[in-house]
Amino acid sequence: MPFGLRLFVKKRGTRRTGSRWQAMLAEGVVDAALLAIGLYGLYWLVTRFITVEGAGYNWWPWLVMVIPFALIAYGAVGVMTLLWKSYASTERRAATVQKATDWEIPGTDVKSAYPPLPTIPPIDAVVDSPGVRLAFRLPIDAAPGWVSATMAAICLTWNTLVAIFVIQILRQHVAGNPNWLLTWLMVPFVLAGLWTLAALGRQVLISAAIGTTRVEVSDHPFFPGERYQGLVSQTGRLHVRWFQVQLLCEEQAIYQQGTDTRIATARVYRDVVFSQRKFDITPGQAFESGFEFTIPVSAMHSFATSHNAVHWTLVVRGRVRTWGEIERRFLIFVYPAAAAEIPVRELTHSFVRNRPR
Amino acid sequence: MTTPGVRLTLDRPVAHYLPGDQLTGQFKIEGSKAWGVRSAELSVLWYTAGKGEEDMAVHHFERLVDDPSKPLDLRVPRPFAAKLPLGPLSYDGDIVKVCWCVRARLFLPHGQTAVAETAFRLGTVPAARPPGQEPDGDSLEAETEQAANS
Repeated sequence: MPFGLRLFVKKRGTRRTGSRWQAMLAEGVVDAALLAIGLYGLYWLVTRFITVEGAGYNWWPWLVMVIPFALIAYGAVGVMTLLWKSYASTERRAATVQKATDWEIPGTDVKSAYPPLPTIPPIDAVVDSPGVRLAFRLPIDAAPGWVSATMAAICLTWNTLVAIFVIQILRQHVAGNPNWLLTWLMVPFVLAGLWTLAALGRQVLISAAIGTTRVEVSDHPFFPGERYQGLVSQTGRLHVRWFQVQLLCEEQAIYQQGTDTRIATARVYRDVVFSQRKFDITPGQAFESGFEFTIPVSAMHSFATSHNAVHWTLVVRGRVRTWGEIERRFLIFVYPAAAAEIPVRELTHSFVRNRPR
Repeated sequence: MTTPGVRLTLDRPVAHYLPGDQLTGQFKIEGSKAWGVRSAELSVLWYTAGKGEEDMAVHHFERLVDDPSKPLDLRVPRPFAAKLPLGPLSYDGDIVKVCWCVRARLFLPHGQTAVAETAFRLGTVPAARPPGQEPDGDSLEAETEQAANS
């Protein structure tokens, strides 16, 4: 790698565009510069405005002090982090972080009803919703909701901007001074706006027509080798061609490719735990069916860290007339078999037994 | 400038442990030279490998410092012991792997370091896909359609 700064280069792959010490040096210089600017700014403010008697300044120098304080804090934290990184080994830093996360902040209730297992997501949020027939109603994966919200935001922004331009062009036409070049240039933008409206309308119609999917389970968390009961319910007005509930295990890896962050997924387990073909769902009568499923004995437990994860999911999939394929995902948590022997699990069972079935 | 060899051994001949087991072993500098080790760190840790960026966490950490009142002589084997946690279990997946190891890091004069590492397995989770079995190329959609129509 030739020596030299490459500031405006699109980095591809996993290679570095500079050496590690160059990066650390640059980071240190930037942090130190921010710290120095902040200190000088604070000194300047204090000597020129705060301590001058009878200058007539009231509150604003105090408000402006936020800027140098922010620079001082950012620069100081950056310098200290850099020094700590160069002084302490990776393991020592990780151990310190681990120790810090173990501290309990006074006044906060951090105790969970379930065993604290590192890297295994806590299930408290999943089990706070009781089911109608079984113990727990699983919360639906929020991803499709985010798709609708994003589509609505894009549609609104795009069409607002297009409407502003269209109104200006129409005014020109009404005033008898039409700009035909601008008018024709607006056509593709208007068509794109109409397309976003149609897509949003279809998304809303699908959400309304397909209705709610509900999945309930008899227990949570799940343990390898054990068998559980489930219940799936689907509302709406649908002519269903096929309808399945699948138990999936997927790995997820987040990695940097150049300056891009990418997510890779790999499915390592799939079991169809419920399947039915060709039936109708009417608005007055929701489709409801029970099923049973077993977590495989050799299953890896749920695992989630900053960049890597193993997710277990109950996926409701189907194909319906008019609307095509539907898919709803429900995240579940599989704990290691050894965690089943923790007395806390008794708490879970007593909790479950008190629930209406 | 050379660095000393570090011998890190686990007491069990087969490096396979279950959650809650006691992991024991020892580490020492190879040979009879003192090397003037300033400090030494012993960590029991897990890290991820595979396609994603590496995540790691230290489960057990010991730091030994050379002190005039208590000189650090690593020619004498240093035992260590740690109770293993319930998770994460060792895992050999398609794109995510969880690996456990014991790592000894020695800090020598002039900023030099010497590192030794011994891997072990925690738990009995088998590989996501047995060796030789490639991931199937069919998409979930195609498989689902096929399963539904069968």
